[in-house]
Amino acid sequence: MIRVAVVQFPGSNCERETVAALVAAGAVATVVRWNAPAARWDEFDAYVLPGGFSYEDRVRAGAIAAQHRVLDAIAAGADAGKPVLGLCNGAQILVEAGLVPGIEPGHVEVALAANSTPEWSGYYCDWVHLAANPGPGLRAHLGPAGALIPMPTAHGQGRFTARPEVFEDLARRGQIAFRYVAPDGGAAQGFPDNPNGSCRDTAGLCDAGGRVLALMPHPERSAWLYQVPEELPGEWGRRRRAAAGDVAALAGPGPGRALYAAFVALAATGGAR
Amino acid sequence: MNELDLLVERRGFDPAAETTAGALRDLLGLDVTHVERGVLWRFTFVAPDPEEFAAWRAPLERAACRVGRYVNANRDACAWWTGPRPYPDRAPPGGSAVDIWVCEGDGEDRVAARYFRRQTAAPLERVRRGILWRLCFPGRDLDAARERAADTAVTRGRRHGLLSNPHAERAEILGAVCDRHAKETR
Repeated sequence: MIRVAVVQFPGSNCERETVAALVAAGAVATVVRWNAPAARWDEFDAYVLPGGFSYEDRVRAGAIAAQHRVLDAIAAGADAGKPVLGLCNGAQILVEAGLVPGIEPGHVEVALAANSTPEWSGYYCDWVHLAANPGPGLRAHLGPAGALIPMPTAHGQGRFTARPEVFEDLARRGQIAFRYVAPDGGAAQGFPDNPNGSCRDTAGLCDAGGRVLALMPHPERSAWLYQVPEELPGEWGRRRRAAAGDVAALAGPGPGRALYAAFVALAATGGAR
Repeated sequence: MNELDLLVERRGFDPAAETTAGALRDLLGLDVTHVERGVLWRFTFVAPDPEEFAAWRAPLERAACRVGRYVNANRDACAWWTGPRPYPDRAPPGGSAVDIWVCEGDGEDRVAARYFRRQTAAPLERVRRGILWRLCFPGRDLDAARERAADTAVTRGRRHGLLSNPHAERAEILGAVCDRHAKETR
């Protein structure tokens, strides 16, 4: 069984549901506090940094947590080929720690800035649609499920940004792992398809090997079918409506489950790069 | 100069400043003695005459405090920085202090500018705002303090900088000062 540590920082608030989603995907998942002894981190095959507001977003979302010694252990694990998944605040931490995109490991190369679109700025919470760009690592285990994954997003600082040439380079390297798309899977047409004004509609950025992923939306909030709103357009909304009143069907996997399953499958490959 | 600077600081203890001081000391190994934090507003006027725009201080402050939109008057204190730049103008006893202004982008806040123009009719060209950090260091070596503050201002990686992410924010050192009368004040 794959053992996954879900790292709880002061201010994390999605660790329980993240554990549940990982367990549903076949892993043994445990909440581990950020200040656990260094040797504790070696016990795990993979790490997940869940959503929340670590250190109350003081200074900047993810900035203080990124400086903590636990990130040294996670970086060492990533170097050894262990998959790392940062979700929302976890994504902000990975970016601030320089693990993603990791062109020069340990260097901060992009930012997750405040949401800013012509129509919206500030905190935003709604369902969005993601598509995986082809690439190695976690995406290689997604299969057709990666074509269109609806899930909720909930953040105030989720706009991937840097100089335009940085994102051109990341796109060329295949490190823009997930992008926001329209509900029909076509290119995002601004807000609300792209809810934060992210460069190149980036929803998730990964390292060169695709094993360390920073993803802003919340797959654990769409890991079960009952979490999907009936009015959601497309195939998942149709499945949800068809399952209305059927408790067993509603307890089945939702669209976000595929991402956790891919993460666990990736961890099962061990240190293979 | 056709600018007015308004510093909004929390009265008394600021938990965010204290957390930052702890992070700088414990995680980055910086020998900072104290950290203060506030929001610095910079109002730029169309009118070039300082006498004219200085009269706008009171209406602008009233607008900032109105219904707690930008300032919670029960919690925050406003101070107009009117002295000669560069700031700051006071140093901790026996130590040195450096002020760093961190703005998202260039700090321009068009929504706030519209609000202040509408509320006051002030001839504002632009309004900028950002977090003003004051880092206090032991000793009176101003160059060393400035160097440490500059290192801390920009995040370049783990254990290297904290206060701004250069890919989205701009950090500007507004001033540095040391206590030149430490012997007399002891």
